Amino acid sequence: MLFSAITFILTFLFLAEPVLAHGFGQRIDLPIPLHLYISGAATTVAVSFFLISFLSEEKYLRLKNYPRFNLLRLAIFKLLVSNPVIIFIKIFFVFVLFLLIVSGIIGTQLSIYNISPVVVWILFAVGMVYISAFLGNIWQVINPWKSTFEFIETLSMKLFKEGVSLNLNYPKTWGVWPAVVFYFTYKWIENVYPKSAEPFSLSLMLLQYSLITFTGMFLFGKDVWLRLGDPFGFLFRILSKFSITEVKSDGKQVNLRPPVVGLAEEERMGISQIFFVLLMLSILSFDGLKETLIGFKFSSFLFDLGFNNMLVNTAGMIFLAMIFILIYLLFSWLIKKIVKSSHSIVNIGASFVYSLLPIAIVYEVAHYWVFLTTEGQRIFYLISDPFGFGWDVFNTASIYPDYGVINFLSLWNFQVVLIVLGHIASVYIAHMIALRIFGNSKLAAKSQYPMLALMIIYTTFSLWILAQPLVSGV
Amino acid sequence: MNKNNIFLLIGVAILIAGLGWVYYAQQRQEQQVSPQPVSQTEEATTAADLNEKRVELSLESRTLFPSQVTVSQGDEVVLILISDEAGEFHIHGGYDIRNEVEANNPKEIRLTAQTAGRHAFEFHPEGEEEDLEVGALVVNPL
Repeated sequence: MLFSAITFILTFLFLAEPVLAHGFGQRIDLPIPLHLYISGAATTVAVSFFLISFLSEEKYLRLKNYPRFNLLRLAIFKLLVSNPVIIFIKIFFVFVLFLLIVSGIIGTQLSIYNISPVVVWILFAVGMVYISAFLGNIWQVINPWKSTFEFIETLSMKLFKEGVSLNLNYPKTWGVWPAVVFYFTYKWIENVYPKSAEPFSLSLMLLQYSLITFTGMFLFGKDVWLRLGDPFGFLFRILSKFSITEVKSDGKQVNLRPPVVGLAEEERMGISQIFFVLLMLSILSFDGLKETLIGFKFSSFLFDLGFNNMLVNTAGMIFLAMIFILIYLLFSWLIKKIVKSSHSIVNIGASFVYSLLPIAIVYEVAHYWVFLTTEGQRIFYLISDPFGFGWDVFNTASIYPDYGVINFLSLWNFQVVLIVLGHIASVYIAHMIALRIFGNSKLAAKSQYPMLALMIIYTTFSLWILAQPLVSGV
Repeated sequence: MNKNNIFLLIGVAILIAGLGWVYYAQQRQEQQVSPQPVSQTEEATTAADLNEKRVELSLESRTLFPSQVTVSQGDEVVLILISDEAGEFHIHGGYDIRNEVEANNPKEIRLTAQTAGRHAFEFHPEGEEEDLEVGALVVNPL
């Protein structure tokens, strides 16, 4: 699998012409001013010291038994998750998937007048991350591939009295490696592949992904594949640990809970899990970095040496990911040394890795906010004219994006405050995890010095990217 | 003094230092900004419009110079573009302004910089499908 993904990428790298990679849509972001960046960074450091000096063990553990409210006790929510409504929602999203594939084939090939790139690269790639991280794991309800497979399975049960999946044993050594490989491929297409926003190639990619997903579900069963092998199943599930909802006891409880606390729950899946999370973090930083003056100068230098655009960007993605993973493992080793723990480095790394997600999530929000709220508006005219045929189904075909909705002065403050809040959440979660795995509060506190240093570095690095001058052009 | 108090003190010290720096940075920014109105009134006798900002752009071998034009929100902007190649020059993002450009014939593009942000300049050479991002109009918010 790894091999096929690598050959897939290499084929593009060396066969494709050096086309100018064009990110989909317009980014009108401005860098945050220096004084805000510095004050954000200073607050981050200060807050970190407050957290370790003020919060005692009991204050950390208080959130372990956090308050929950079962939403199913509300009649309106019960109605919302009743079978007919859920079936309607599932059918709707299967229809959306069908529409996207058809649109790429029969619709206009001008990206911004075709519904498929906007839905895939803005509403799904950015919007679903926001929804999963803040509201909850909605993907497991709306996932159209899952719904289609469920439908086929139900049909087969009725007709042949048996399911369609082979339910093979998912090899334990695979961990979440398939998800890592496919997630990298997906992000590579988004960030590097020049045809990512061409409607027709997008349809082909959707079909390829469908084939992979159906094969995975067919071989290992839908639950196992979507939990471990599917990049989006894994991504949206770990992001939803940050959110304000949790599903317990097989869906009998849908609880409202304080945000962030879900990340402290135990879930160790070994080195592949560390790779997935750090890949996610590094690609996010890569996406920010490549638009900055420094990223631009660095890649221009490599272009001058004769490397093509795709090669430079692919190497950049891999290189940054490796640096992130190495630094993280180094800090895991430091924790092990300081605490003199018997846990392996990988175990320690896997235990703490979700504690970095709050910083990544808030950075994702800060980084894509302008893009989502301006370019995302394209959906208004596209729902009336999805194929670019000049239709006006809902009378919204003339609503074009209003870029004036962004007030940069408030946005900058919002970005900095958000990043500091994310940092606080990360430090807090890491401390809760430390108390759980090292038991005694002294050891837990000691173990957190390297973690705190790492988080300060990561937070200030994210702020630094947001404050960098940006470039356009060749 | 126990360890926690030391941490607390360091925390407070960093916070104060950070806030002090922000205050200082803002003061300095205001000082840098304040002389401007004086110079503007002096220029007012010569310039037709107080806020008009004229920038000459040259596009040679598909490279724009200067590649970035920075103005403030509300400015009246006049771009004078000389290109060595015919094609279409677009300002994207919040403006969506399209202009035909002839080779070596200066083209004047007027706009009011109402929307803040970074808005890409794109050049579409005549007879080619390529969209070349050649620079940007940066409108700083007020």
